[in-house]
Amino acid sequence: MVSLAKLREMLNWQRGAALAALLAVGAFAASSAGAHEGSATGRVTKPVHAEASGDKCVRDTAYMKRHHMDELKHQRNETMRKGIRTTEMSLQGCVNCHADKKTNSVLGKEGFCQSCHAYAAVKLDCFECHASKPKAITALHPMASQGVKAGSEADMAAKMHPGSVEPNTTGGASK
Amino acid sequence: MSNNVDKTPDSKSHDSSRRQFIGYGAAAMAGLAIAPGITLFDLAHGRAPEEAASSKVRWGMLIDSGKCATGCNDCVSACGKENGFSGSRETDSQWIRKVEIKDLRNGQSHSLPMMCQHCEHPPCVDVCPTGASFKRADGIVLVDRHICIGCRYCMMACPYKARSFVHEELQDQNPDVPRGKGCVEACTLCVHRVDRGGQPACADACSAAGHNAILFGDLNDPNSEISKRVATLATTQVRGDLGLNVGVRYQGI
Repeated sequence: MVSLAKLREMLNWQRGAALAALLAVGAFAASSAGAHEGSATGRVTKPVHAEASGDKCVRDTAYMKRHHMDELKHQRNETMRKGIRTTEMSLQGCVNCHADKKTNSVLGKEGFCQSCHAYAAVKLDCFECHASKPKAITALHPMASQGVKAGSEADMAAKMHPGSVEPNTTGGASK
Repeated sequence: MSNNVDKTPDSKSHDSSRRQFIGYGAAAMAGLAIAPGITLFDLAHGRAPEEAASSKVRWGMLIDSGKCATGCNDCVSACGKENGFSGSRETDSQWIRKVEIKDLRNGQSHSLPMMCQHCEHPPCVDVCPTGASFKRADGIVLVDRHICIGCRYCMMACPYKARSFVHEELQDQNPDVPRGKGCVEACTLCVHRVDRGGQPACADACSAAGHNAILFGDLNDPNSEISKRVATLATTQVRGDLGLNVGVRYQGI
């Protein structure tokens, strides 16, 4: 007859052993897989991402690799605080050019931003708020086509009927 | 001294004629501004992308509650469409809402949109512990989401209940309007449109619906339509007693 305490001890030991065995197998599998994929470059494979749609970047690749975050941060403050909306160093500019043609995004396994950030193990916060897709395609999203008129259409309507300003004025003045 | 005495009567007449001339000039400008309508309006807005927002401009809105139709929700839906919230989620933000007010003594009722009033002295900016809440040079009050920690002090401070907190993760934002979980946000006066020479989506929607209740413009420019109307008509600042000098004015309430 095995006492309750002894049974518990045995179970614990067995569970621990199983876990250790699993870990060992897992580690072996991972290391062998790494050996197959990693080839000559090392443990982690170099990121693969789609080609950009533009001819060339706003700066050379070496500069952009090193300084894109500083440029983006500078631009973000200029735009946010002062309303300066130049496009050269804007995040929108990056996304417009670098979005993968297949997924239309800079995110995803082969996305321009995410693939490299995953490789470098740097957290990519931008796209929690910012759109990871270029503007034209986002406009086709069902959210955007809801309602009566798109903003741009309303804009157009206002521009096509400048007379609408006139009754506004007289109506206001007579009140 | 004698020079001064000598000058007084003469210079007065000179001055007055000069003033008159300036007056004519202003009138001519105003005529120009109204006749081609949008063209000059755009010119007034036009700012090069590399040019910073200037304190010479103060953006504001004048809302005519007499023209604002009861039951019409076009400004609210246009705002949601432009900025990426439909109101379908329980926790969706609300940047603009329609308010129906009624004087119980005489039954007079008004309908008006209420949103961030873009105060000259914004309480939300006063209380923000990180500096995320700020007023741009041209009077637009914004939240810098990069710095906002989501403490919601500003929501408590705002007398207009204008701000919302984003409770859930968002997808497919408008590239011009980045929004995300954990930040407070409010009406931006469609700053991305204004910077490109446009006007807020609500004002566009209101004129597209034929109500023309929302007039957007530069309160600092004496020749702008909004300034002229503010100068000549009885307009109200909601909670004017707080002395915040708001940028959104109401007419007919």
